[in-house]
Amino acid sequence: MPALETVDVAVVGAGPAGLAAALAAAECGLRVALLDERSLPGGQYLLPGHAHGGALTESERLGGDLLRRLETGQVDWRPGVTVWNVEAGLTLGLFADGRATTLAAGAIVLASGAREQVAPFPGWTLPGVMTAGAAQLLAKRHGVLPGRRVLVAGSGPLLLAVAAKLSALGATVVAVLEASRPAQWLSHAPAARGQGGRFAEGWRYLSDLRKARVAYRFGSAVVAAQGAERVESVTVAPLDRAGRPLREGRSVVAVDALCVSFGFTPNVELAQLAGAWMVFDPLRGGWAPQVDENLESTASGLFVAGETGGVGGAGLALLTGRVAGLAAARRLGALSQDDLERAKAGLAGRRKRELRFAGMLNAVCAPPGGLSEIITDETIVCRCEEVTAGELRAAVREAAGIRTLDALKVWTRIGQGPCQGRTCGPIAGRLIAAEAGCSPEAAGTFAVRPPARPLPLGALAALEAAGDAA
Amino acid sequence: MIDLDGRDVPAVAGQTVAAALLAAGILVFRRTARGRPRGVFCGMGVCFDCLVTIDNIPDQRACMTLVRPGMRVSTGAAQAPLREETHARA
Repeated sequence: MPALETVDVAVVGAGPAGLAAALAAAECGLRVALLDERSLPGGQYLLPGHAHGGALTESERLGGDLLRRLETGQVDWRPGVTVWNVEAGLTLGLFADGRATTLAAGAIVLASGAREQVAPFPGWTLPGVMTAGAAQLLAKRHGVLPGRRVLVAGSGPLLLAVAAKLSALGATVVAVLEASRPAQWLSHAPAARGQGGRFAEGWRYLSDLRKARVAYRFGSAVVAAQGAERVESVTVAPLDRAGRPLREGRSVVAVDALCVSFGFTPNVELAQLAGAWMVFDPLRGGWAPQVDENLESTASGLFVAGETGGVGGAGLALLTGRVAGLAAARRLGALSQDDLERAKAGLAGRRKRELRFAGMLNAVCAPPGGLSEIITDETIVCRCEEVTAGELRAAVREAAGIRTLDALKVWTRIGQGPCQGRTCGPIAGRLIAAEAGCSPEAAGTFAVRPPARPLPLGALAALEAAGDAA
Repeated sequence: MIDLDGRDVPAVAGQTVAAALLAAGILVFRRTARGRPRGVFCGMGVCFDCLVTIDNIPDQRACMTLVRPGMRVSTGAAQAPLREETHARA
């Protein structure tokens, strides 16, 4: 189908990486379209209201500069656009305002960010149970609290940031439960060199929480949520060293909201659609596209920036975004090789350093293996299609040959709902690994087919008609 | 103000439908095909748990849609795999 519209560079995602990429390519005189599903630029990191928490981090300051430069109009900023397809010929399928269109680009920078990882437990589908990122967005952008009595549980620094924010807005944070133990962090101490800013930020949250008398507990987790129409209480248990919940020392805590989070995993579906080669790396947060030194994937002309290339934080996102934008400009002949090399100087070293630190976070924050014991057979794994852990385990144990996510999808309907396996994919991968004694890598990913997001059939039909007329 | 299942719910410009509903104390946004309640989960457009009907268009993500004056939102509809209005629209 011929594309309805053409630009030099299309950038998918307007977080720190996408902003940096779009503005860098525009600096080279290229026509750049910056696309995002949201109505505001900045992604999850540069949310409006992020300045309320006191001093800005360096990345927030740099990102704020990019947001101001976006207002000058040098980039064609298009909010509210869903990208549902990327063809290897660098044509994007877009959906906005009820209409599907296509956009051809000379180069694409994929900066679609990352999503939170969660670990299921009985009751995790109850209203009032949400990701820490959801609570953060509601609190920071809208000043809305997820509840009055909130428990925050999972792993990683986001728990601290969210708990501090909710507490500052007047919620009673019952406790922050961190599944990992201090010893796990200490074993990675060398990776923490040169990351003083991050520790200062964490320390600030911790002292805020101490002032608000919020308990911060290592080595414990939520093992179940109870309630009829919404979460009313949660069961909390201490964990052993493998992350297995202990029988002794459990308690039931009354709450009206529970925020959960176990680190992040890259949003890679569009790279998969373009045919980019994927690699599994727990230090990068799971599956991520393989890239060369110019951040180009194996799909020619498709560059990858920010968390999509491996969960590494906002500083790395700003850096890789700029380099990907300039590399895209180089591909289109709008920048000399020398200028690109100059811009890349120091990237390799910094990228390695940031990824080493992020690798520690990604390794320590992932759901601990032992925690899978709390996933009873009745627990829903695929929230969309309501497929239970018991159905999945039976498929792995009894149906010969089911060792991959794709086979499991056909057999049980897991991943066939509107989220297309984005939430349950990593969970089911770990479940297959546990049942079949293989690695999550061997379980693979769900195959991705267009449309990567649900869209009305009528919109697709109208697009076909427009293509025929062209 | 937006209209939620026939009653007025306060909403602020720039707010998402999800934020307006939660601020009004509404947590249950819909029921699944098996009748189980669901609300906001990922809050960032990934999970499709917060689906509501907005101005007669079903299955809209409350967390990704900004409120508009006079918007009509209905919760509680089952997200059945085969449903008449979905097919009528297609």
